[in-house]
Amino acid sequence: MTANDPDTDLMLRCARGDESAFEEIVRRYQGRIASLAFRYLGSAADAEDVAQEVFLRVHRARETYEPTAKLSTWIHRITVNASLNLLRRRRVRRHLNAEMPAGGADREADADFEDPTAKRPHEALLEAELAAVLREIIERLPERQRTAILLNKYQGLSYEDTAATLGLSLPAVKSLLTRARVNIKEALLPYLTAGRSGAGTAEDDDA
Amino acid sequence: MKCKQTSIEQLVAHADGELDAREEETVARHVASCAACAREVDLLRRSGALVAGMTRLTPGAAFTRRVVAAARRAPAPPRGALRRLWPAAAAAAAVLLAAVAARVWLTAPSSADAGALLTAREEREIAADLYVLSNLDALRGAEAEELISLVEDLDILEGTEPEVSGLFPDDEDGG
Repeated sequence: MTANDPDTDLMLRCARGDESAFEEIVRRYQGRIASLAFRYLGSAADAEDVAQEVFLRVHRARETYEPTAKLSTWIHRITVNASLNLLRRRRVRRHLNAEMPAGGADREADADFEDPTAKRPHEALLEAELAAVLREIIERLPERQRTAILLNKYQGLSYEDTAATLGLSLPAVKSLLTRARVNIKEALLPYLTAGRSGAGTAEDDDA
Repeated sequence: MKCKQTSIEQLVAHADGELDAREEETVARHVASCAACAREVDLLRRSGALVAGMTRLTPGAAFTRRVVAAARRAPAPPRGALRRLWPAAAAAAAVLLAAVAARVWLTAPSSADAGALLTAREEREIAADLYVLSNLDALRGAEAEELISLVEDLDILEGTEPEVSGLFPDDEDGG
């Protein structure tokens, strides 16, 4: 599986001390890693901090790197771990500091949802609302479902790579993804069916 | 789902193009002739596309430079020393973990709301972090933060199976 990983060579060069290879890894992954962290943390600044930490870990581990797993799998795992750790620390801080408002994740970085260019007002409004609903449903998914769906649909990893990243079996990941997809679809149903005839009836899934 | 001829799992995998050729043929043929399943696949595809299209961050060249510079400043990892130390550190941490965890638990606010935010297992992990953070210097004289990172990477460095419980301390899925 790693024989056809295009990043293996890059990482091996990095292990030999080739700094340009490390830079290439950063450039190649920084958008995906920062974005994934952003989905957990809701703050662009925190997401970039996590992304930097992820790359520094890759750099520190470069000499002991053994290509037993795809580089992307490894990097995604570190990112999920680092993001969840930061989330947990935040929860503790909130826990210890009762004054902190609930749902304290700052949302300002998502404000760019609100400037869709050249859209009719109600369309833009619907889109902003849809984006907010989508963020909320993903935030509320059980942790495993959320991570699985973010890796698969947001990051574009295959089922197999998602399973490898999570250390789960393929059937387990399929089941997680199915539950996540049904939950998301149900939550978005009013938006998905808006303006279509015979729309809006929620179905009962047994997932 | 109204239709009983396919499972929702099959429809999701079909919508994602993740079925193997034989199963794909069967499911595709069914979806083509079943309005309920076709609608389901359409909804799954469109909601999936919305997830894929959520906003992204695009850190630029400045971010790249910052990371590369930070990496250059970082000292090389003390591999051999760390590996010899790790079992000792883990054992020492385990001894004090219970005490710290108990304290965290005892001092936590008792409102139901706050309690729900943190599971016992998360508290133990945090307690472990706190312990390691405050004691590693004494244990080894290394920079605590760096050592923690290295310890967290160990399972990968050693090529062992990833510890799933580390990613997900509590299964909230309920099946």
